[in-house]
Amino acid sequence: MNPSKYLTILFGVAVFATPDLSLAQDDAGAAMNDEASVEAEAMSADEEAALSAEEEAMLASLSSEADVSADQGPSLRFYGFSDFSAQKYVLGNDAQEFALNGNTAFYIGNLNLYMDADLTNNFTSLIEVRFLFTPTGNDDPTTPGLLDPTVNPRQAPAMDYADANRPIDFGGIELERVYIQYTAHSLLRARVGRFLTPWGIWNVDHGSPVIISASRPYVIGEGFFPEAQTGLEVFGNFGAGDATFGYHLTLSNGRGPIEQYGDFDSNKAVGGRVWMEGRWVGAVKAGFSGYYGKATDRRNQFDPTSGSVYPTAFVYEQYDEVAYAADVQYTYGRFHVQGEAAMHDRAWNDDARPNGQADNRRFGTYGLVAYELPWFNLRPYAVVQYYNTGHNDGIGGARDILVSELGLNVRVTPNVVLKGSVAQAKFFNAIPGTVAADDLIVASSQLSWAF
Amino acid sequence: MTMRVYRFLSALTLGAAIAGAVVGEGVALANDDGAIAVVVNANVPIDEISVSQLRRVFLSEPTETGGGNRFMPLNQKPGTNVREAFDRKVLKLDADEVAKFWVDQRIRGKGKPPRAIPNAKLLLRLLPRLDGAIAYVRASEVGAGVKVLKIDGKKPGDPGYPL
Repeated sequence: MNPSKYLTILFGVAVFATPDLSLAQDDAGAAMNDEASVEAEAMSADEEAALSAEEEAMLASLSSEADVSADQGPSLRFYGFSDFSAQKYVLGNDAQEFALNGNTAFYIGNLNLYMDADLTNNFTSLIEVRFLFTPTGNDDPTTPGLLDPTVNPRQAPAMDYADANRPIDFGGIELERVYIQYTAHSLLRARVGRFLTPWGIWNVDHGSPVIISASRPYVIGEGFFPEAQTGLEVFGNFGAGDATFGYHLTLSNGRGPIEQYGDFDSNKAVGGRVWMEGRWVGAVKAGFSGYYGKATDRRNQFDPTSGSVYPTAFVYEQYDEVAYAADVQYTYGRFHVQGEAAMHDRAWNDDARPNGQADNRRFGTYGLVAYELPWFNLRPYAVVQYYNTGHNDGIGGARDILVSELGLNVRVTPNVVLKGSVAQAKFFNAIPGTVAADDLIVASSQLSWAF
Repeated sequence: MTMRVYRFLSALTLGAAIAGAVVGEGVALANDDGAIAVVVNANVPIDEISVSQLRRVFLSEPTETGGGNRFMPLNQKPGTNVREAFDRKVLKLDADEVAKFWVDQRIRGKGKPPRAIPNAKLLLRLLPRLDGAIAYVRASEVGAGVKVLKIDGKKPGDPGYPL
């Protein structure tokens, strides 16, 4: 064959074939496009299915939070906080040596466990329990017991029946909060059970990670108001512009030896709090709290003249009490200042007045200033507190105490807080020879964490 | 010829894809800095809310919608730009402060944070199905079935819109 013809034929074949080839290529491209489209559709369908499944699961979860169906039951959440401390008293006189342990001591201060649940859209429940090492440590400290390592004279008298009845350390549980809450409206919420008394700042902010200093100011723990009450609390709040206003009203057994579950008088205690919060130049919170109650202790006595074989109850001790408190808190950027002041009046029933007890008025206040530095969440703080006990032997043999404290709070993470502080207590109007005759210095460090 | 066209189109597609990715990234970045729209279930009877009210709602304070329900706030996932921008503008808190705030609130026994939804697409699908639901998304992501609320009288895009 003539090569030119061969080339012509080849060219012709090529020309002829090219459209076929291109068609084939187009077909291949179309097929690829179709496959991609099918894949894309399949992926889109998969994504849609996954999204739908996620949507239904999330919806079920959110709906169950909002309104629990009878067969599902509420989901219980567990969380809490704890703290570990090292503390040392620098003692200045014999009375202090006798009353306080001057050695550095390590301890777990709080181990509080919370359990909460949304029962329905309107009902919620909260339980907070504190675990303690006591009652171990409360026994007679004068009994020698180190000779036998299985016997601790300060142990509560309990035997381990699973271990040859050897003495055992056992701790206690304090029920701090147990209540069910109903929310009818933001203006009207009610809880019944045991609740923290809504007064001041740090009675409710009682968890160690929340409290800036290593411990609450002494006056806050002095029981001007009951720390917790058993009864009914009604509260609510409303917003007006940048401000929020709120109230609390309480009705409870009041104070008493068995106030958690009983009341030895017919006078229920009443209390209340009004508060406001505003955000203008910084954030400000302020509140005013009040409480009135009758505290009664009752004993039983057999009266042979009554003709009854049963003993009769009589009021052993009784007093009326009124407490007021005011608090204010201001935060501007990294700057924080807060203060609380409280007053407590106690008037004894003359027929049930303990020997030597006069009616009295106590007053206490503290102020705290803190500033968070821009490095490592370091927050140095200073606290000054003053407490007038209202009688001459009020606190360690003194009438008044002034405590100055310098410390450092480091929020290592949102859940972990490290604190260190040195506090000096100065006593006034002290009785010579008592604990209060000399200043007392306390150095504390604490690691607290929320879990 | 067809091959050339095919190659040309391929190159064009690739170039467009690269350009699109770049532009798309730019758009995404622009969106990250775009306005945040506060969206509610369409049955919520209000058309406007203030920043103060939003703060209360997203701090889990019970707040009425006006239609017999309370708001059910839904958050975006922590760590996302839109969540951090919302927290900063409404709660006046940065991410670390938000974490501290909720730890403290739990210990006080004062409630828990709004549920965080993994992504905006899911959030927008859930919103029409939950009475009283309120959330926030980028204004560019708002779809059908939800209502955009004015904030302090302004809607997204208006001068002086606070979010």
